[in-house]
Amino acid sequence: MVDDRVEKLRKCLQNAKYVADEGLAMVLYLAQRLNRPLLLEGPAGVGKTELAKAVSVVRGVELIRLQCYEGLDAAHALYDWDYPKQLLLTRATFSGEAGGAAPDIYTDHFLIERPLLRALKTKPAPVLLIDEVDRADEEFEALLLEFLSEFQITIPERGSFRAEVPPTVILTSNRTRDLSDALRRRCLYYWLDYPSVEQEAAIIALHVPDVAPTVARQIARAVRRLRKWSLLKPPGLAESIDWARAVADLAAGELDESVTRLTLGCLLKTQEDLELVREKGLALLWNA
Amino acid sequence: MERIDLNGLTGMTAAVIRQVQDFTPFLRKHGFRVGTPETLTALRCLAEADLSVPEELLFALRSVYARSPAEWGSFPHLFNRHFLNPGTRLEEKKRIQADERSGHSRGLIETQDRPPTVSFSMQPGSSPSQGERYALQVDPSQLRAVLAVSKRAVRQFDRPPGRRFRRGGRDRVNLRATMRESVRYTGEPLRLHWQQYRPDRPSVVLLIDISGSMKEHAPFMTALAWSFTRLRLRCEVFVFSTRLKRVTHLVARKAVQGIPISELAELKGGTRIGEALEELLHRYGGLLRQHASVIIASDGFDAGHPDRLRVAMKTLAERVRHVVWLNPLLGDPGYEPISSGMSAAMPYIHRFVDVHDLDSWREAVEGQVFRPVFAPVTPLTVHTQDV
Repeated sequence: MVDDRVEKLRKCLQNAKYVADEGLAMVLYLAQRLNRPLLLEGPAGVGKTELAKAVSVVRGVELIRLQCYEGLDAAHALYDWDYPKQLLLTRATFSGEAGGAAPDIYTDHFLIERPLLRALKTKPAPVLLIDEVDRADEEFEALLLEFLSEFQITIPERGSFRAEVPPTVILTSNRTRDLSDALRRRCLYYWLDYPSVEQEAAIIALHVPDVAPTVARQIARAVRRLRKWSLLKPPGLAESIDWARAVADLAAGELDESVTRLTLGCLLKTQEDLELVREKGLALLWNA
Repeated sequence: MERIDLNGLTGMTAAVIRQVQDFTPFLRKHGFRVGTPETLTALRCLAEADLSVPEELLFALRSVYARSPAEWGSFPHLFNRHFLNPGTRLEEKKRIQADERSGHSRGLIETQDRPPTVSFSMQPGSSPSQGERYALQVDPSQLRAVLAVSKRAVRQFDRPPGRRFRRGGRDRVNLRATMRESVRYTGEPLRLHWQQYRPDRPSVVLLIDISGSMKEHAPFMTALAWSFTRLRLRCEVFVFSTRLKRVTHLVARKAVQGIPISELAELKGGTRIGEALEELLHRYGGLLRQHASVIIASDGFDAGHPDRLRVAMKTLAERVRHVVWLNPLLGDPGYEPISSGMSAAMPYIHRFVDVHDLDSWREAVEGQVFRPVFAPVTPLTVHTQDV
């Protein structure tokens, strides 16, 4: 039964300290069955990157991470040639030190594997995390297309490399810009939003066992309220967990003004947001 | 390219396959850009899923057909209509009435006595509003035209140095390109190739006045804001009347109808530009960087104290590269910027232009209004069409 397999995947993720709902578990299951990349979009700090880590733990395989940034190109993402080494061999050959035969400088010996090529060659098939793909340029997106549809990379000097067993590919995006339709079409899509209060309390309890269940719920409610205040940097799950850790370290039985005042820096990361929350009144947080 | 793979589809009846086939054109009618590849993927998903559990089908198909938060939000409703409730009729499209002054009524919602229609390529966001106060005109051709003009405008903004940009000093050799060429010359790098550094994206802060006097210009200004979010810019969009509200996340969508009225509940009638700018400086000071451009779209009719506006404008102009004021009334014959608000702001504006529709927007961009003015903010450097 599919239900059982999806439920089993959920439990495995839970054991890897990741709380996934039915929808996410179902899409993950389908992505693996159909050998399709999974594109996760959502606000910053909802656990998109953590999901890839959890999947690699569940499957017991290596996690290969490609962090995207503006200016990322094929030489940093796919493969590169070891040019200094090639140059040395070429010079040695022409000066007669290497036997005089025309050297082949495009062999594996000179090939530097970057994350995408490494993901195709690694066995067992790893989990490949292409993180914050929206930060890369459109040109890089075009580079990804062949990889995502065929799990193949073409190196002009060597031909095509294709994965025997395709890696599990997870792309994340914070929507700082829109991704092309061509890229989206090759992926299954999941919009990962902020969790519900109950889910967030469960996640906090999972990551910070020392925190009391009532405090975990208080924190989840307070963070949910903060996210509605149009802050410059709304707190994500990582901030909730940090805050819970800080509260647990202070051995506080519940949130109150002194605890909140001391630990607010775990939650809010800009001066403007801190001022806004102080203006509105800290009491709104522990009475959320 | 999706390959047709019939493995596993044998368990599905022809009726199920036909329903899924019909679902794709049904979604296309509602603005989804999907086709045969999605149908094939959906069928493969259904082969893996339990057809007797609707939630499971919904989860599976949503990940195939939806490609944006807006589509993600509207998909369950469409799924239910197609698979679980086939008798439902299309709802009538709600239309916005335009302003009285242009011979229409006052922005109230009415339903038309005409057959139900579905707007072309426009789709409600993930939380569709029942009343769009400042909805875009559903005119994809104008949106595309505005976007094309805005593309030209982007080239004029000041572009800060990129992440790996180093002014002066030694540039880095691009070893890859140098080596590739040197292979032709027996390994002698006769010509060095240098790294190309790209400047960073320009930063733009757009402030749109949505008070009553700007009502007729709101759709175009919203379209303008939308076009800025589609380009290679770091753009933040705010609306203001008596207060300021950040609406970037509401505008920066592929399919946008406007800003739902529920999102603007805290903005009251009237205009207090000074207070709104103070709020911008106080709460969003991090956006006002040295290379940022601030664009204010307002007619300048201000009910606040002129001194507050003057001080806020002065502070703003000192912090950013330049301030551009788009005044939709400037093109009107006989209009002079002599209202108290406009007079207080004028000394700190670098460019003062008429923008109220596509033609005036094109004219402004052709006039290079976004080229930074490097003269000191004071004394006044005002560029009007007449001067």
